[in-house]
Amino acid sequence: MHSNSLLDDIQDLNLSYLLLVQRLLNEDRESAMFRLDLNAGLADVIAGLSIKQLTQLSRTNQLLCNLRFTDADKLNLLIHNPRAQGLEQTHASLLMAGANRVPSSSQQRN
Amino acid sequence: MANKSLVAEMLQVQLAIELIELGARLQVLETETDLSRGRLIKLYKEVKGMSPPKGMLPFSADWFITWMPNIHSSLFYNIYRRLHDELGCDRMSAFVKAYRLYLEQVELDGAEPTLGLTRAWTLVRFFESDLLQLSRCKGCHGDFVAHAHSPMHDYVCGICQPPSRAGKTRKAKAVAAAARTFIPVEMPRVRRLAV
Repeated sequence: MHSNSLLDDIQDLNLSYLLLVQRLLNEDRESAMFRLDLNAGLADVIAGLSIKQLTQLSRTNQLLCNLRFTDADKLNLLIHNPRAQGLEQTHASLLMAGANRVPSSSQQRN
Repeated sequence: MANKSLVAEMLQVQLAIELIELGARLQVLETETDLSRGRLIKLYKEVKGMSPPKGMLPFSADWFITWMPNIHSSLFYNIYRRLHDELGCDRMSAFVKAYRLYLEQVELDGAEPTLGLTRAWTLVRFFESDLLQLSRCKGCHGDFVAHAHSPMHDYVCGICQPPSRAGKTRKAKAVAAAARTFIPVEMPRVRRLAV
């Protein structure tokens, strides 16, 4: 059993997330899709949702947004790299921006 | 020139202004816009309040392979590639957006923007003319800038395996000493935790 406050937090976060997505998309669609790792289809759908629909979507006991790092080893390496010399954040950002961010994505045209 | 659309020209001027503000050299503007050299120089003076610097652009592909520049170049190029190849931005708008996103990240990291705009542009051009390639690090699986036709196999990036003297500059030492003595309280909480 989880306390109500945790459930509230999840729903708050869901709604904040969706509102943030809309704000970012409104400001600069492509940069937003980059930041959020959204494809064009999803971006269009979320951008077109009404506040009522956003609230409906948020009302769940599961989080809507997902962690970008899906591989535990990779995340571990990123955080516990003894040789990173303060470049951990740059490294994380580089890996998330990279084409390899989704293991299944068809990669490498060369 | 006579029947050129006014709107198209305005967009070109807008792009030129944006590029100048981000630190573009005149050669970048001449290549990427149809505006005349004379107008570009005038625009440059108006935006920057000084004459554009003269001289050749940096032309060495080796610079992008050296340690810190390589990390910055790779970060920028990963962003650019995503915007351009996957998210369907056209070349110049992907370039400007990617450069802004790069600057933003570097600022968050509290680092210097090692990769200037003109260098970033040179980087994109080098990729377009197949002088550079992306190699995947076998440690972190990140994509890093490398010379074209260099072996992809067993590539390890400069973060997973920095060269022995990497980052050991006098400046880095001073920063480390300062960081030991105090942590500014006005730092945002997330960053304070990361120190």
